[in-house]
This record gives sequence, C-alpha cells and structure tokens, in this order.
Amino acid sequence: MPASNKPRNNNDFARSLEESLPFQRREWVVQRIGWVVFALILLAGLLGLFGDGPLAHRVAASPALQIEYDWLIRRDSPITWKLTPRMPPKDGRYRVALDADWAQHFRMHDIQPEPASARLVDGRWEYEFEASGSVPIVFNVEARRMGSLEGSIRLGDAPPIELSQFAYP
Amino acid sequence: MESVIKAVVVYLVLLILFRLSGKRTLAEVTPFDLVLLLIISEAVQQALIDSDNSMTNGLLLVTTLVTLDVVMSELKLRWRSVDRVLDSTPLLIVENGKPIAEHMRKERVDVGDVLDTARETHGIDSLEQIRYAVLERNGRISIIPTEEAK
Repeated sequence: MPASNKPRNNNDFARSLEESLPFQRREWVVQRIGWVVFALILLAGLLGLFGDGPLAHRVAASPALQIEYDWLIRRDSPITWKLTPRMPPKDGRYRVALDADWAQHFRMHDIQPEPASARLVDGRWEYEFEASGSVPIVFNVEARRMGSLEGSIRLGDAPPIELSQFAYP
Repeated sequence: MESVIKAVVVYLVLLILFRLSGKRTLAEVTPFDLVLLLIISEAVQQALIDSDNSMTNGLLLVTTLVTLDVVMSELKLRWRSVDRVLDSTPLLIVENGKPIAEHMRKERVDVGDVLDTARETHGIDSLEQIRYAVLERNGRISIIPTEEAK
C-alpha cells in the first residue's frame, strides 16, 4: 500500500483541514449572541425604536395647539406633523409659523388642506388657512438630514411648541 | 461622498449578518432561498441607490464594493486570524462513519444532509461508507469515502 493511501489518524486529518475547534466554539458562542441581538433588533423595530411604531410617537400640546408627530424618524422617509388647533380661528384664519432654520431640513410634500397663503417673516415660514372652526392641519414632510432636528411651530401669537426629532440615516 | 460611506456600511453589515447566521444559511440554494436572496438584494438596493439613479452613483457604488472585496481578500491572505474571522474554519461532522452530533447540531446539519451529498457526489448510500464528512467554510459538505466504498 503506497504511503499516501495509508489511513491517516484523525489528528492529521483535522490538521490538514485547518479545522480549529477552539475557534469554532468561540464562533458558535458569538453566533448565538448574534441571534439574540437579531431578536432584540426585531423587537425594537416592532416597538418603533427605529421609527414608525408606538414608541416613536409623541404628542406635544399647549393650550393653543396640539401636535402629533414621530420623534424617531428616518431620513428620506415620509412623516407627518398633525396640528390640531385648540382655540378658535382669529378673523376667520389660522396662522401657523415654522422656524425657517429648522424647517429647511425637511422636504415639504404637501400641506392638507392647502394654505391660503404663505409668507416669509423674519426667520419664520408663515402659512395662513381660512377657517371657521378647528380642524386638524396635516404637514406631509420628509427629513433631508439625519441626526437631531429641533425646531418649533406656533399658532398665531401663542407660545411656540418645540418639536424634537431624531432622524436615522 | 455618501455613496461610498453607504456602500461600506452595507457591505460590513451584510458581512456581519451572514457571518452570524452560520455557514449553512445560503449554502445550498433551495427555490425559497433564491427568493429570499432576491428580496434581500432588493431591500438593500433601495437603501443604496436611494433616489440617485445617476451613472456616477451606480459606478461609484460598484467600485466601492469591488474594492472592499479586494481589500478583504488581501487581509485574509496576510493574516490567518482575519481569514478565520471572516470565513470561519472547516468542521469535521462525520468521522469513520459516526456523526459528530454536537458539531452537526450547532451548525444545523443533519444526517440526511450528509447522506444527500454522499449520494449526489459519490453514489454512497450509508454512513458506514463515509470516512470523513466535512462542513466546508462555504457551507457545503464534502465527503471522503472509505477505501471499500471508493
């Protein structure tokens, strides 16, 4: 029998394989930790920790205005700010003003209903809506930047409501 | 700038995901695995391309991915530890006709999988005819038959 055909013992074979059991065992441990992490990520995703879910939702309110929005959002993904006025319109109009420095980081898709007019007033974008009663106004927007986005929205002359959002990449 | 960063992040995250999921995950492609693969690529593609459908962006992404692949293979050649971390090591799962239960369980392989491959590659129909079965790093099973079975 030629030498090369001689049954080698298992250690030789394992060595020629470059099998490494200590490494393999560490790998299994790391993999199982990884699976737990996968499950946690799924759970966090379901809860909305990456945006779009119960934990991402927030309501900010003052006596004049209530705003429903998601504080955890994703860049380039559509979101809404739902504004519900809590006081009657003034002279048949609601005036909504956004910080321009902050609002420019959002792509405005549309505003429902369409405002009757839009004006630029020192550092603010002002929208006017003709109204005879309190009905929600919805801004459909999308963050253009990732990271923390903080600004404020005010209704008429009432104190502004701060919106603080975090956009994932 | 952003396409390069995106491509690097996606490459690394996918590498980690598939590495953690185990050797066998996409080793033998069943019809459903194929569908899964397509869905995964579609999901990632959206994130990479985004709304930038320019040729510059597409080519930049491809160049980044290919470069990363070259860098990785260079690293693997240079350092064995990198090689093991990125590609794992082969694993003996049958020795002299006896399955090594712990190894098979941990890698989610069963005797049926081994016999499948034995039939396909060597026309072998029982474990006794297998001297060694090795789960390779790419997730495939190699069979080394006994002298009598050859």
